[in-house]
Amino acid sequence: MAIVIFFVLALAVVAAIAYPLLPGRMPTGIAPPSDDEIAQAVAELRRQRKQGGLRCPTCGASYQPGDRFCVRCGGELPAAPEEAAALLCPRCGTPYHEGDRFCVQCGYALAKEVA
Amino acid sequence: MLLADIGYGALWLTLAAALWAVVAAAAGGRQRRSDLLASAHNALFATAGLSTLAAVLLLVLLFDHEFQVRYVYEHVSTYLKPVYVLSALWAGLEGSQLLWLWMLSIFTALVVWRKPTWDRELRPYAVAFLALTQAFFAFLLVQLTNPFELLPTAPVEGVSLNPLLQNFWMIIHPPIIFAAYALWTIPAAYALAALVTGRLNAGWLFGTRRWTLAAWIALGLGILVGAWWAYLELGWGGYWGWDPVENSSLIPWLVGTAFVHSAIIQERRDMFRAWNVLLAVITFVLTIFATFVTRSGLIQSVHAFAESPIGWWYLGYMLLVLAVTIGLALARKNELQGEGQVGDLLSREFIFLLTNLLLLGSAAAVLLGTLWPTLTGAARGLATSLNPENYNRFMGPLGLLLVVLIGICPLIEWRRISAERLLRGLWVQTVVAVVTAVLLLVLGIHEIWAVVSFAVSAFVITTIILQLAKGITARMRSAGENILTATVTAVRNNRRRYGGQIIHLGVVLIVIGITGSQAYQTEVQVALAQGESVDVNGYTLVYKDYTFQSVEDEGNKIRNQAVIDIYRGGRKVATVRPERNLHSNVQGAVTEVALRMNLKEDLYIILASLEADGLAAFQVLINPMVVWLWIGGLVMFIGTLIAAWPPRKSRAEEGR
Repeated sequence: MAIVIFFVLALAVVAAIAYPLLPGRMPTGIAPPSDDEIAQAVAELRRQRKQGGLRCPTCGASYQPGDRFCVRCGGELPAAPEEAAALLCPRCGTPYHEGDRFCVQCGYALAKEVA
Repeated sequence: MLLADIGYGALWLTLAAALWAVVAAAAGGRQRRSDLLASAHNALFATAGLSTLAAVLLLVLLFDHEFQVRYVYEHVSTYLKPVYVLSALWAGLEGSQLLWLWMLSIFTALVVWRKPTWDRELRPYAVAFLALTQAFFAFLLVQLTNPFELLPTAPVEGVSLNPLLQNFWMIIHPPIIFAAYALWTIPAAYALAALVTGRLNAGWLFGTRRWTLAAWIALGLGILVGAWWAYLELGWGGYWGWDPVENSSLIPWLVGTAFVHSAIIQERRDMFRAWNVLLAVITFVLTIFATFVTRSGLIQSVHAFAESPIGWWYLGYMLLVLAVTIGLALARKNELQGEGQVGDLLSREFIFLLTNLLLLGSAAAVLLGTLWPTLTGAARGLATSLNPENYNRFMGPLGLLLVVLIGICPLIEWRRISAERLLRGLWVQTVVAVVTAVLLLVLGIHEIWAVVSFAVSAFVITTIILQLAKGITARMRSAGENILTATVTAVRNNRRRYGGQIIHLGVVLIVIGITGSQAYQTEVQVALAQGESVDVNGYTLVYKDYTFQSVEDEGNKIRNQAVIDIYRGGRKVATVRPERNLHSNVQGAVTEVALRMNLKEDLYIILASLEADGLAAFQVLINPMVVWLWIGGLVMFIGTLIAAWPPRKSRAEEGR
C-alpha cells in the first residue's frame, strides 16, 4: 500500500518537473533578453531620440522632417503631426511654434496674432 | 506503519526534487533556458507540498499516539494534553529539522510564486541556493535523523514531553525562531546570487528588504518569547542566563541587525557592498550554527538535549557556504568596489559604520564566550564555562554605547555635519539626560551604571520625541492639519524613517527593563509554616494552605502546591499558587512560579521546597520593570510593521 502511494507521489513530482521540459512547451534556448541587452537597447533608442532622428516605418532608414518619400525604399513617409496644424507666419509663411513672439525668418511680431 | 512509510517516502522525494531544483535552476540561469527554470520552480512547489505532507503526517502520528514510531514514543504520551502534542512536533532534533525544512520550503515557494521582476537575473541562483539548503535538511532527515523511524514493537505508553516544554510560550517560540532562521536564508540566497551574477549594486538589497525585515523581527520576537518562557518556566527569577542556546539565537540577531543597518548605507551611499554580502551570508550561517548548537550537544546546556554525530554535517555545510562566498567575493573584487566612501568622522555614514562594528564586536564576543567551554575543553581537557557576570561586563558597556548612537544618529547628516550644528541639535536631550541622572542620584539610586543607563535612555527617548515632533509640527504648519492627521501623514510619508524611530524606541524600553531588573532585584528566601507571613518590599505574603495531589490525566504528575494571599497596604490583592511538581518522566522537581506583574515591578514567588507537614521554603523576588522588556518588544514589532508596510503607490508594481 505504502509503495503504491509512494509511486503515485513520485510520479506526480516527476510529472511536475518534466512538464515544462516537454518539447514545444516553452521556447527552449530562446531566452528573454537579459537586463544588459535591454539596457543597451534603451541606450540606443535614447541616442536616436537625442539626435532627433526620424526613421522610415518601412525600412528604418533615417529621414529629415519635411521629407515625403524615403530615400532608400521609396516608401511614403508619415506627415509630421505638427505640420498639419502648423502655425504659419502671416507675412513670410515660415512655420512657428505657439508662444513664439517674433517670426524667426522675417521678424514679424507674432505676439499680435496670438493675442 | 503506512503513514510513517509515506512520510519517510515524502522526505526522500523532497530530497530528490530539491537536488533537481539546484541543478535545473543553476543550469537554467547559466544557459538562460526558461524551460529549466520552470522545471526548477515546479520542483520547489513539489518540495513545499511534500514537506507539508511529511509534517502533517508526523503530527497525525503524534496525535494518534502511534508509539511504534520512535519520535512519537519519545515525545508524547496518552496523558499529554492535546495542545502540547503540537509542541512535540518540534521538541526533538528530528522534528525541529523537519520544521526548518517545512518553513524554508514554504518561503521558497512564495519566492518562486511571484513573477520575476527586479530579480529576473538573480533568481535562478538564489533559488538554487534555497533548494540546496532544503536538500541539506532533507538529507539529514532521511539519512541521520529520520522522524518516522520505527521501533521493533509498539510500546503501550510514551515517554511524554519534557514538562519544561509544556507551556503555551513553548508552543509558539520554536515556530517563530525557525521561521526566522528560514527567512534569513532568503537574503543570503540573493547575496550569493548577486555575487554569482556580479550585480552587486543595491538592487538585491531593495528587493529583499521586506524578507530581511520579516526575518529580523521574527528572530527578535522569537528571542523575547524564549526569554519570557525562561522567566515563567525555569523558575530561577531571571529571563536571560547567557545560556549557549540563548546566545546562539542572539548572535545571528546581532549580525542581522548590523546587516539591516549597513544595507541602508549601501542603498543611500553605495558603500559596503562586500560587507553587506558577507553579513547576509554570515547571518544565515549563524542560524545554521544556532540549530547546530541546540541540537548537536557540542556545548552542554539546559536545552541542548541531543548528542549526535550530525554536528559534523552542520559544520560542513556552514564551512561550504562560507568558502563559496569568500571564493566568489574574491573573484568579484572589482564589482564589490562601491562608489561612496566614508568622508568625515561627523557623518551619518561613520555613525552607521561604528554601529556595525559595535554590533559585530558584541556578536563576536558572545560567540567566543559561547564556544569558550568547548575551546578550553579541547585545549586543556577541562571545560570552564563563563558565568553571566563575564557577559554582562562587556555586553553592558557595548549595549549602552549602541544606545547612545541611536540617540545621536538622527541628528547627523549624510556626508558631514559641522560640530556646532550637531551640538545645537543635541543640547535639549543632553539637558534632559543630565536632569534625569541628577534626579535619580537625589532619589537615592547609587549604582552608577544604572544611573548612566537611565540617563542615556532619557537622552534617546528625547531625541526620538523631538524628531517626531519636528515632523508633525512641520506638517501642521505647512498643510494646516490637526495634530492627529499630521502624525498619520508624517509617518505615512516616511514609513521607513519613523518605523525605524519606533523600533529604536522599543529598544530603549527594553534597555530600561533590563537596567531596572538587573540593578534593583530584591531577593528574600524564607521558610514558613502554614499561617505565617513575610513582608517583602511593601507586599505581605500570607502562607495560607498547601496541597499534595496526584494528577494522572494531566502529565502524570504529583502537584505540590502552596496557596499564598498577597496583601498590599493592608488590602488583599491576590491569591497565588506556586507549585513544585514531580513528573513521572523527569528527575527532580519542576517549579511553576507565581507571578504578579505591573508596570513598576514583578512579584515572583518560587516554591523552593514543601515538606509533608506543610513547612515550605519560598524564594520571593521583586524584579522591577521587567514588563518593559515585553512592551519594548511589542513596540519594535509595531515599528517594523510600519517600516515594512508597502507604500500605497508601489503595491500595484510589487517589489519594485
